[in-house]
This record gives sequence, C-alpha cells and structure tokens, in this order.
Amino acid sequence: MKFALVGNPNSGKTTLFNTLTGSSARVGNWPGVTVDKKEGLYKCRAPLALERGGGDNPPATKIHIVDLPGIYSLSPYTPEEVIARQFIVEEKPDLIINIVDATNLERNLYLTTQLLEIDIPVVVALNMMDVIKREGAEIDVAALSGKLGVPVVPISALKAGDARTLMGKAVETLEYWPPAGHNRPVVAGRFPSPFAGLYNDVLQQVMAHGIGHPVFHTIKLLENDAIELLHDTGLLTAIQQRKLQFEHSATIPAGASHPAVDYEAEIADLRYKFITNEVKPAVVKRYRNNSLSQSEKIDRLLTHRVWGLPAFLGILFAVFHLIFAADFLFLKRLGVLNESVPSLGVLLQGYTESLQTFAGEQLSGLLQSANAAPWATGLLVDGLVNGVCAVLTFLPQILLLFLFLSILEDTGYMARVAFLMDRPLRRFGLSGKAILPMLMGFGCSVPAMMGTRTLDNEKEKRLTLMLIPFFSCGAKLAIWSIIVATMFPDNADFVVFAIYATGVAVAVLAALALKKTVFKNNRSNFVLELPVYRLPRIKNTSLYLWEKLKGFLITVTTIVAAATIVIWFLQNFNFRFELLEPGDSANSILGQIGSSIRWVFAPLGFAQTPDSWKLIVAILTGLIAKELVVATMGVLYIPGFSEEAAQTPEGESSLIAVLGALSVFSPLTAMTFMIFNLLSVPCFAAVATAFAELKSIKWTLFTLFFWFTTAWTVSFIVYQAGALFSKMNVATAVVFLLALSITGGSIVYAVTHKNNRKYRCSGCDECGEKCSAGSRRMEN
Amino acid sequence: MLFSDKMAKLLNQFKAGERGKVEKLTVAGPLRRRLLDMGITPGTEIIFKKVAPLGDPVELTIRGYKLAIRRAEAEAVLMKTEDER
Repeated sequence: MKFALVGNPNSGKTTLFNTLTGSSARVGNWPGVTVDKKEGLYKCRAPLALERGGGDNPPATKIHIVDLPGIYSLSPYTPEEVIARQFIVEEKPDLIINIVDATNLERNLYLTTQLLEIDIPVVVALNMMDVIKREGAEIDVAALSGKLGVPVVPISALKAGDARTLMGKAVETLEYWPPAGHNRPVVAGRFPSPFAGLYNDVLQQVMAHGIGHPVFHTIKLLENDAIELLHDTGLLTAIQQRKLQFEHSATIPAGASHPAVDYEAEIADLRYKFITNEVKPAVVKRYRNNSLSQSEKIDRLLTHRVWGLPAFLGILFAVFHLIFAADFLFLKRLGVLNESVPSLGVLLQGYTESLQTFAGEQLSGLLQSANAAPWATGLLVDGLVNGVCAVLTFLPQILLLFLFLSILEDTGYMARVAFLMDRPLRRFGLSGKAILPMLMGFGCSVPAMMGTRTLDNEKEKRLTLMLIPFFSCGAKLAIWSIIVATMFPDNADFVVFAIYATGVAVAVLAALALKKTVFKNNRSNFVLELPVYRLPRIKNTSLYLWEKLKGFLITVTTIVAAATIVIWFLQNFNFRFELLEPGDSANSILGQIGSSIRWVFAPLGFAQTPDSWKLIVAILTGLIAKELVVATMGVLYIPGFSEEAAQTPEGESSLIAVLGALSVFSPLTAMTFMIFNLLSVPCFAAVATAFAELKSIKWTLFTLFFWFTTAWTVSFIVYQAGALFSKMNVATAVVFLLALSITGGSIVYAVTHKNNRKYRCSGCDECGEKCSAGSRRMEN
Repeated sequence: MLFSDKMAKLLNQFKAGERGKVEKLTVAGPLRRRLLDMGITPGTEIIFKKVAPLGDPVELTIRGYKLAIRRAEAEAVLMKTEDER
C-alpha cells in the first residue's frame, strides 16, 4: 500500500514523514526543502486495522509513505507542483494524507479543496495543534471534518502517538472507501448559475470519455491548464467549443478580463470564499496568532531597512568565528587575556588531532613489536592512518558548519536572507531564492545542486548551479584548515573568511559575466512565503547531523581509505612495478604523472619546485573527493619527512608541522593553491549531480570548462599580481591596489547599471519601480 | 496617472503600514496563477508591511501569513484603499 504525504511547504510534512518512517529526510523551515519525492516504510509498532478482505489471520500491512514536495496548489507552473500532481494523478496512491498547518488554515485549506476533487481517499492531518493550544486558540476538529467531508486528525508531527492515531484513522478510512454518501464539497459545483451549467456540461463530456478523476480534470480543463489532457485532442476541441459558446452567451462576470472569461481567477476565488465564508466561521472558535506578532518583532531587527544587511553579515561572521577562530572573541588581541581561548570548532579539532597522533603511535608501536615487514608498516601507518586521519581531524568543524546552516534554515531565517538579498542578486541574473542553494553549497555541493530545482526559471537554475562550487564546501574546509594552520596560524579565522569571501566574489563576477554572455534576457518571479520563526527541533537537527556524520564516515572509510592505499602504491612503485627506496617517490608512477603536467600549474606559483608534483597529485585526487586533497598530502609528505629531515621541535609529525618544516608554501603560493582548489572542478559526485540537473552533455562540458578556466585564471592573476607586489615598495603597492579596485569597481558598476538605461521599461526585472504604469504588465 | 479614481491604486505604490483590498490582477500567465494561489484574490485584505533594505522586494501580510513579492509583481495588483487623505 502506498500513502502520499501532501501539504504546503513548511507545514511539517517532512517532520511527520520522519516520525512515521523513522528516517531522517531533510527538514528545514524553508519553502521547498523536499525537492523530490522520498519514500519510506511505515514502522508499524501496534498492529494496524486490517487490509480489506484480510481474513482471520491477515498478513502484516506494509505501508509505503511517499513524501511529496511541498506545494501551494496543483497548478502546472513549478517543477514541484508537477511532480506532486503527476504522482497523485498517475501513480494513484491508495490514500492521501493532507497535512494542514492549523496556524495558517486559510492558505493550507486552499490546497485541500483541490485534493478533495481527486477520487482518492483523503485524511487531513491537522498539524501544529500544540501551538494552537499554547496560544489559547481553539479549532473545532469535528466541524472541520464535517465541512470537508473527510476525517481530520489533530496532531503534532513530532509525536509518535499522534502519528499512530493518524495511521489508524487512515487505514480505517480505506476500509470504508468509497463511502456510501460521498459528501465532499466540490467547490466548482457552487458556481453561480451560467457558470454551473458550463461546469456540468464539461463534467458530462469528461465522464462520457471514461476519464478517471472527472471532477479534477473538469476543473483543470476549465482553467485552461497547460498540461491537462493534451493527448485527447477530440475532447479538448469539444470543450473549447462549449466554452466559447458560453463566453458569447453569458454576461461577463465582473473582474474578468475581456474577451475570455477568467476561469482561473473565478475558481481560485471560489475556493478561498468557501474557506473564509463557510469553513472558518464554523471551525475557528477562537483565534490568536502570537507567533506571527512575535515573528514581526524579530523581523523588526532582522529585516530592518538599515540593520537587516549588517545583521546578516554579522550572523555569517559569527558562524565562521565560532568554527575557526583560534582567539575566541579576540580576547587575546584585545588584551583581555594573556592566552587565547580557542573557539568551539578549533577546540574540538585539537582533540581529534591528538587522538590521531595517539592512534598513529599505537599502531606503529604494535606493528614494530610484531616485527611486521617495513612495507606493511608503511602502507598501514603512512598510507592509511596519515591519509584517513588527516581528513578525520576536520570532522568537528564540518559538523559544526552543517549544524549552523541547519539552524539558520530551521528557524526560518533563510527565507529572510532571500528577502534581503533578492535585490542585489537580481543584478547578477539571480533571484533571492538562489541564496539557499548557494549557502547550502557551503555544506555540500551535491544537495545544493539538487536544491536549484526550487528555482522556477531554467536559466537561473543553470546559472546558480554553475556558481555553487565557488561556495567552499565542507570537504574543502579540510584544505583551508591545514594550510591556514601551517602558514597563517595567527589570523586563521580571517584568512579562512577571506577564502570564503573570494569564492563569493568570484561567484558574483562570474554571474555577471555569464549573465551578459550565456544567460541573456533572463526573467523571473519572486513570490516567497516568509514563515513564522520557530525554534529548531533538537530531534530534527540531531537526525540531520547524524545523517551527515554517517555519510562523512562512510566516505572516509570507503573512498578515502581505498584511495589512500592506491595512492600509497602509486607513490612507492614505478612504472615497472618495482618497490622504490624510501625518498625516491619522485620516480614513482604518481611522481612521473604529476611532473609531466607540472607546466599547466607552473604559472600559478605553487608548482615551481620539482617536489611540487605532490601538490598536483593532491589536486587530481581531489576530483574523487575533496577530502583526498589533504589525505594525499598526508600520504606524500609525511613519510619522506620523517626519514629525511629532522623532527620538528615538539617531535610531532602531523601534516601541519611537516608542511611548515619543509616550506612547501610561501604565503603567496599557499593562497594560490587554496584559490585553485576553491574554484576548480568539484568532486565526481558533484559533477554527476550537475549532469543530472543540467540534463545535457553540452551544458555539462561547458560547465566543466568554465570551472577549470575560472580557477586557473583567478589563481594566475592572484599569483602574478602578488609576485609583482612583492617587488614594489609599500606606497607604489597602495596606489596600484587603489587604481586596480577603482577600475574593477567601475567596470562592475558600468556593467550592472547599463541595463537600466538601455532597456528602461521594456519589462526587465531591474527597472521595477521606474515603470510607473501597470500597462506594460498587460502586454506580457 | 492611469487611474483618476483616488481610491484605486497599485499595490506597488503603497507605503509601509498601509492596507487595502484587492481589486484585480492586471497580469496574465503563471505569475497571475501564482498570486491567486497564494491568496491574492479580489476582495482580500492586504497589509503592506515593509520594504526590503535595498528597496525591493516588499513584505505583505495576507490571510494571516507573510508573503514577500517584488515591486514588479506588486505592480500587477490593483488595489482599493479605504480612504485617501
């Protein structure tokens, strides 16, 4: 059996799905978090009522729960709506669980009135009843059930008991379906008289054709729905003729645009009138919406005209500071304390690092006492432990980043960010809604690229997708941490922030360039619900973090572990498959490959010494997974180091100490190495996702080319400019920098503002308030 | 001005805190449907809450929830205000 979960975005659908299935589908207080349908099995603790015709000893009921994307309507305009609609109408679930947010009945019931027109049993799950009680409001559940003609179960989506009651009711409903007196309200059946005659005629024709869900299809046909019954041209023509006949005979209803009757508006209006005039007065006994007024108070600061944007930047900086700062709250720098106190992220990273050193020592001690062969010790300690642990060290910081991102999302703040950033982003051919996938990119590019599906415009979607890798993902964090700890230990948080900022800046410039060349004449809409602020649910957050932790550990123990072993072999054997002497790895397979393409990277600064093939190999393995960049460096640098050179003063052999002692980087080449990794082609998983979303080989190839070229060019510019600077004196450098930024700034300004002058009032997005008359909208 | 009637104006021209009722939508296609679906139907009361820091989009309260739309979209909503003075 299959039950579909349908409801508005942000109505608690995914939370209910988690409660029902025990799975950890992603939840966020953001419209459109579920971008594709998800399926799970109902965990049936108590035996449910029986399947129809079950007999004396019925088989256990297996119920698949399908979580559909959040939708406001069954219109054909957004991908989510189309996915949900096709699933409901074509794949015929046995039952629809319509989840309704009790604190926002009016808009939520609008979708319900549409679902009631489909010939599938519906059970309404009235969610957020705990909030209703807390606020002292009252909803008459029985009256609601009577008005809708379907069972209504009050729930709080988190409570397992409520979920069980709901499922019990659902199975019971199935047993009595179809009910003898099917008394669902059909809104379209309440049309004023001339319209009602048209409706009945069309309904007769549809039923005569034996089409399933006749009421649903009749209404869609009346609405001139774009994806409705296109295959049955005969029927379509007949209905068009009937409609034309109606339009000529009937007096045009007020408010409809001539000459065609505005069926869509009429029907939407009828639905809302049904809810406000019939349902609400009977159902809502007392109503208070404290959360809305509380949200307004919070928004007085967070979307304030002056303080809104600084607050956003402040929140972003606070997140980075908590994760990366070695000197928490600048206590040392400000002279409050003599010793710096690390922030949470750095503190936790310290712990995992000492754990790694400990594990390495124990293992090599164990192997020595067991008289293991040197190559085995090399493989296990140098290959596996160094590689895997180099990655594991950054687990706390990666998890913290995901934690903060999910908190920002769950509270509802992300929708406000979209609201704040829509105007600036529009200059670059994006809408405010693109901010969520882009910020998700700071976590992982794969879900971020999937998230671009919530954008309703194809050009905007492609553009956003191409920019996502520039938002430094969690796995790349390991690279920044290790290099920053080596080269810039005193300013770690600032340098990491600068790396992230560079990514964002490049994304902005790239968006501008692409908007002017590849994605011309982009038009989009921005209609976004700003949900009420909510406290993040600990259960949802921890489930989500657990999922991330699991995913990370699986990557590390499988791909990273396997790859480190392969890298170790390739680095210790030459092309004739002979084991090399320690320290001779330049002649190894990897060394040969890396050296042969060193010329590509030489102009970027970090690949100028013969030893730098190791960095190139790290970049290449980064294509498998970005965690491998650090793992590879661990495998390639540490063993050679412990044998060739002296130990570091502390006697430790962590990668940070080794990179520092070997002077692998200068500050400048460290920057260009990081910038190249930041901007270059992301991991295979992300490339595969990009291909799946772009749905075109041509676009995927272009995107790959675009990523590589951008990475190379920006690194090149940074290195060459930096090298130039180091030869100048301070005054010249300042003047040069000023001149450069003024030129750059004016180019950006000219490009972004040219559009306004040139295309004024032609209907472009930018000139919104400059066009005063509504007349041009009519032309669209 | 297109509309001589003082009572009628575009949602786009509202000031923060102003309220009024929807007269009609002057746009066709997907955007029209989207606005209708979100509850902007004739006769609905809309409170124009505030404007984003950079002047666009705008925040509305409608049917007990908050909706953000761009000015260009608000321009498609013709409104009736209670009193104009």
